[in-house]
Amino acid sequence: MAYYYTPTKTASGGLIEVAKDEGGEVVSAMEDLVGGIHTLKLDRNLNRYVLDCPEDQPALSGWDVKTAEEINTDYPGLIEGV
Amino acid sequence: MAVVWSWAFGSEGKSPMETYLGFEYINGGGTQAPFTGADNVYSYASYPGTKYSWGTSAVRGFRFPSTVAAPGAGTVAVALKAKTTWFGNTSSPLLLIEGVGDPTDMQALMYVSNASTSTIAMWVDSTFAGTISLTLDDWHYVAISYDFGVTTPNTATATFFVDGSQVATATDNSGPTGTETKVRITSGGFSNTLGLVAQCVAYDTGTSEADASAPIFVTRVAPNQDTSDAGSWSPASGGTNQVAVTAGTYNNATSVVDAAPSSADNVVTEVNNLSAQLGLTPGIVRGGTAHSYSSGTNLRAICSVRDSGGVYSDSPPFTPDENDTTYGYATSTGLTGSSTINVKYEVV
Repeated sequence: MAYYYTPTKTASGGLIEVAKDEGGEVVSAMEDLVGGIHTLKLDRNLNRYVLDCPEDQPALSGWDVKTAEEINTDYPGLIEGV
Repeated sequence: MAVVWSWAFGSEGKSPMETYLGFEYINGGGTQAPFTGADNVYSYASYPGTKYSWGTSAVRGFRFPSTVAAPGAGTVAVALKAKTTWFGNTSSPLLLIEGVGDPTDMQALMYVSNASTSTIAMWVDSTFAGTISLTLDDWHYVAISYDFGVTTPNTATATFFVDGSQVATATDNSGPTGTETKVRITSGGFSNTLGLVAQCVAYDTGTSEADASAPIFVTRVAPNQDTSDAGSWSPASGGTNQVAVTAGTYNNATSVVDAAPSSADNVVTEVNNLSAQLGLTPGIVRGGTAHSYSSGTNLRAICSVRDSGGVYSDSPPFTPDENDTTYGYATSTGLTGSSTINVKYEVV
């Protein structure tokens, strides 16, 4: 498993998509996602998703790799058993 | 209650489905037709009849008849298959459950986010819930359990299941408002070549998520014998007179007619050979839905279904008109694999 903080981008239909940085612009990363991802949290205040991803999901530009301990520091209790 | 509505596709084409059976088609053109053949139907080895599924090409999504999903909260399950390719677009969902009535309606959505990698994205209202990978050329039993403001007003929660296993869940409480009292089901258009949807079951919260998401077959059965009538119906009850025009595939050219209807006039037919029609005696029957299509003036009607030894489950009264047929349905959960099933149409 790998944990990421990702930026978000609101699509025209209102969906808040997982995003990435592309040349300084935040663009949708939905087509870059592999199967098996679970959203742990959408932080609307900081415009970011906290994702639990399978190992074959590469970190995209603009994504921050996080440990479970770091996530629980920011969001106490979000990941159980840590 | 548990199952509130069920549907297995038949040989009806797009025109009667749209005009008379209450289905809605989002885009014209392309492929929108019933498909049959072993590779195109969701069935089991001993089934003796001919099954069908509804086939669509890219962006040819469709909506099931309105009001059939449980209001507020429940589970909807469909069996679907993409042949050869996926097609990715939020407007061509594998399954979309949404409230209807105002611009802030809640939704739960599964759509293809990357066709080349067979990746499916899941959403609860505007919140991304996760992804899964689904194989091509295989049937998948896809279910969404939804709670649109029932447990907590202004909050949408949904859990997603594939082939009986939970794959994602999420809650969105930063946008939805109120409680959804009318819920609509959309599917189709999710393959660039051919996407098949075989059946749909809608449950209320009386069934556990585990049971509602577990794969189960929906099979059409047709009344095979007249039971009784009250009123002046033509053809009159007797043998298979009324069965001949009321059973099986929808045909707008045939009907049973009461020219001078009055309250309590009714037609009752029955299925008394269930095991023969199914090709087995099922151990689990979650429910049976009677579908009626009628036209008329100055009357209200209901349709009903029961195990012949039990009490009828009635539809809400509906008011047919002369322009086209008006759809009515009733679902009974009191059926077993050995039931004789009565279906009734009654003027109220």
